[in-house]
Amino acid sequence: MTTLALATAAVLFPAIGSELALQGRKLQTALARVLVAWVAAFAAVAGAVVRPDLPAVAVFWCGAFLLWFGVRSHVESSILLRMLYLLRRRPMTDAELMAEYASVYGESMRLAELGRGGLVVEDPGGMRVTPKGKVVLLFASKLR
Amino acid sequence: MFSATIAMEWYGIGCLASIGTAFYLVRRVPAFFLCGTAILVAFIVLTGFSRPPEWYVMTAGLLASFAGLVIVRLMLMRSVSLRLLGRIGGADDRAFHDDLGARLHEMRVWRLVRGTDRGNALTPAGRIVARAAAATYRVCRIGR
Repeated sequence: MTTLALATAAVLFPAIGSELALQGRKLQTALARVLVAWVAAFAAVAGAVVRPDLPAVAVFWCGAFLLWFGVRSHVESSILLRMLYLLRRRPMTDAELMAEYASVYGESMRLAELGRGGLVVEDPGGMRVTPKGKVVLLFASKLR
Repeated sequence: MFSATIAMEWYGIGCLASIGTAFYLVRRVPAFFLCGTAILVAFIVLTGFSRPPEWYVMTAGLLASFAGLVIVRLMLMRSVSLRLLGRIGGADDRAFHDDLGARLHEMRVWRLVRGTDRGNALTPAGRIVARAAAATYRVCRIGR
C-alpha cells in the first residue's frame, strides 16, 4: 500500500524534472529531453514496486504523462490564454490586442520556434518543411 | 481476491488500449468523449465489485489518459503552429490572423471578456483564468 502510494506520488519527480530539462524552451523543441526524464523516472519506479502492483502503476504513469503533456503544451501555446494574460494590464480594442499579441508571440516568433525544433528551414527559395516537419504533419493529419 | 486483481489488471490494460484505439479511429471530439466515457464506465462496472488500492490507481490512470488524449485532440485540431507548418508545406491556407480573430470571438462567446468603451475588458471569469495563466507561466517559466 505504501509502495503503491509512493509509486504514484513519484510522478511529481519527472514533472518537475521536465521543467528543469526544458529550461524555458518550448515542449516541441525539447520533447526528447522530456521523454528521457519520464522514462528514466518510470524505470526507477518500476524497479522498486512489487510485481502485482506494476500494471496499475504503469497505467497510472501513462495517464500522468499524457495529462501532463496535454496541459503543459496547451498552456505554453494557447493564444486564448495569452490574450487573457495581456488583458490583465488594461482593456484593449481588437486591433490593439492582436498587435500586442503579435509583438509578444506572433507569426515570426512561431516560425523561429519551428526552425529551432528542426521542423522548417530557410533556404534561398524561402521557407520549407524539413523531413522531420513532414513526419509531424503526416502524424498530425492521421490524428485530427 | 488474487484472481480478481489479475482480471482487473487485464481489464485496465484492455481499457487503456481501447481508449488509444478510439483516439485514433474517432476524430470528432464529442464522439471521442462519449467513447472514452463509455470505456471508463465499462471498466468501473466490470471491476468495481472489489476495490483494492490498485483499482483506484488504475482508474485514476485511465481517467488521466482519457483527459490527456482529449486535450491532445483539441490541440491537434486548434494548433496554430501546426497550421503554420501545414501552410509552409502547402497543406493549409488559413492565415495566422484568422486564428487570432477566432480566439477573440471565443473569448466573447465564453464570456471571458466584455466590450467597454475602451475595448475588451476581462469579466470576473476571465480575470480568474488570466490569473491562473499568469501563475502557470511563472511556475513553468514560460516566456512572458
